Amino acid sequence: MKNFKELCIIVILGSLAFTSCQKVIDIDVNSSSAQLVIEGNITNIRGTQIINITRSVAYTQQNIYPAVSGADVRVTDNVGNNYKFNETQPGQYTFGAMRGQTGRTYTLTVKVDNNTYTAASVMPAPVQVDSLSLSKVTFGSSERKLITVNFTDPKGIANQYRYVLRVNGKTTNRVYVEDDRLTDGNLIKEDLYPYDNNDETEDLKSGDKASVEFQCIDKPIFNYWYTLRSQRRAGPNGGTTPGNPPSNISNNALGYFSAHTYQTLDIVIP
Amino acid sequence: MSSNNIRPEIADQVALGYFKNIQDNSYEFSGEIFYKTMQNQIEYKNAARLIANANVESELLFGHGRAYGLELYAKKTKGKLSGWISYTLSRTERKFNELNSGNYFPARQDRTHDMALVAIYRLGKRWTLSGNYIYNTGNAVTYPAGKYQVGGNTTYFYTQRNANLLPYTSRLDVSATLEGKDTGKRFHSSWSFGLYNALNRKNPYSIDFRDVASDPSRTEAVQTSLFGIIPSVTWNFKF
Repeated sequence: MKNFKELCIIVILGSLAFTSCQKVIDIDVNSSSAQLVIEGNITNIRGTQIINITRSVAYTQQNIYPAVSGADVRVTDNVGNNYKFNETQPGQYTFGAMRGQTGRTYTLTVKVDNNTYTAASVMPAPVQVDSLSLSKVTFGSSERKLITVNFTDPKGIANQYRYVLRVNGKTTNRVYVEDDRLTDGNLIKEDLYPYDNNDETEDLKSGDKASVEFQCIDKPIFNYWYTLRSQRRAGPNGGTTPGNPPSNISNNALGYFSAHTYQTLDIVIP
Repeated sequence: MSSNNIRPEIADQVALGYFKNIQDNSYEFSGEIFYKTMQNQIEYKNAARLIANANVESELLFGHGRAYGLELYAKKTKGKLSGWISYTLSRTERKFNELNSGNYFPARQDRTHDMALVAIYRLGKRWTLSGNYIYNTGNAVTYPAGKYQVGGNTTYFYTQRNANLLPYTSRLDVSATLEGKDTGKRFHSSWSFGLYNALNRKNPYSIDFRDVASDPSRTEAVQTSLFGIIPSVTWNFKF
């Protein structure tokens, strides 16, 4: 029986060695100079529209992004309206109450430090969400909950959707974006996984309040988020060669300017 | 595969080498330099969509590549101790108008140094010991140079493609083989005992970047490694 024991030990040691391992390492990275980052949204809901301007930091620095003050920020539309945004907080430019309208092209012009940055975005037609529901998925022995968005895609029109999922007020760090390239006119059940990988602490629990912001976005903005999403799926199981997502802002600014419609729905996890 | 839109990949290589065997072919030496140009190389566009896309060809970019380097090789063929050592110093680069501002950038498989060492030692009549060691520069990868925030999440800013290197890979494998007694019958067997990655080095498989869970104001790089030390026992037989 001694040989059998030894065999067992070898098999166990062998299978331990087969598991992969992860560790935090120090790496050398290039250092980039600060880049201008513009994150602008115009929505179809009457209210305060916000455009944030910050700068990027080097990879090795803390995640504290300097606000850019003193910029001249204007939005015009293709029917002659002109909105001058005012800086209400450092780096945050707002325009009181306005709403964007479907079919109009909104053009952003930002002047800062003698540079001009422009971007244009077309507000798509809104699509109505029917409901949110709770779905379950089983991974091995564990059952995990996810939020499903139910709606009907309008037939014959190219639609792009972005979802922002918040759980108890906190935005998840995943990018949810889809189009109807393969699902035109279908009844859509879009599953939103709130968690990354296998971290069960991020699971939805009974009593959690989840809300979904359902956005209809134009094609360039879809490409922007789609690229970001492919890269977030990094690591051994996927991910693409990293690159900067294609911004619709000129002059090499980072970020995006999106005219979109949205609708927010809430659900309490039973 | 070439098509109406994809031209065949073509490579031209020139090499100049010097080969020398000494002591009745007991030792073999060679040194070689090479230069290779590659046409119609293929990369994906940034933001390429591949899943269920009937027009994948529209997601491709075409450019060219080049590789050049020096290869050295020495082999001992006779005696109790035999084996070989090889070393390659090389560079492999690609050039696409649409990527990296149209400048040459390292191909992912670019390896500045690549070394392999194999030694086999016959210990008596029945035992053979062997070792295999490899060392190579890590793959060329793209690390972020900066970071910023969109949609409330940390997003990385990239400057040049494949401008960084994964940590180097090194691995030592050892094994011992015991030949069965020669009984003069057709049946013959041998036992092999081996250790893969005997030094248990954590070679890089991938590196991810993420916010530190306990301190979201910082970012960390996480390396995933696959196989550590793996023992093995093999019984071979022929009849």
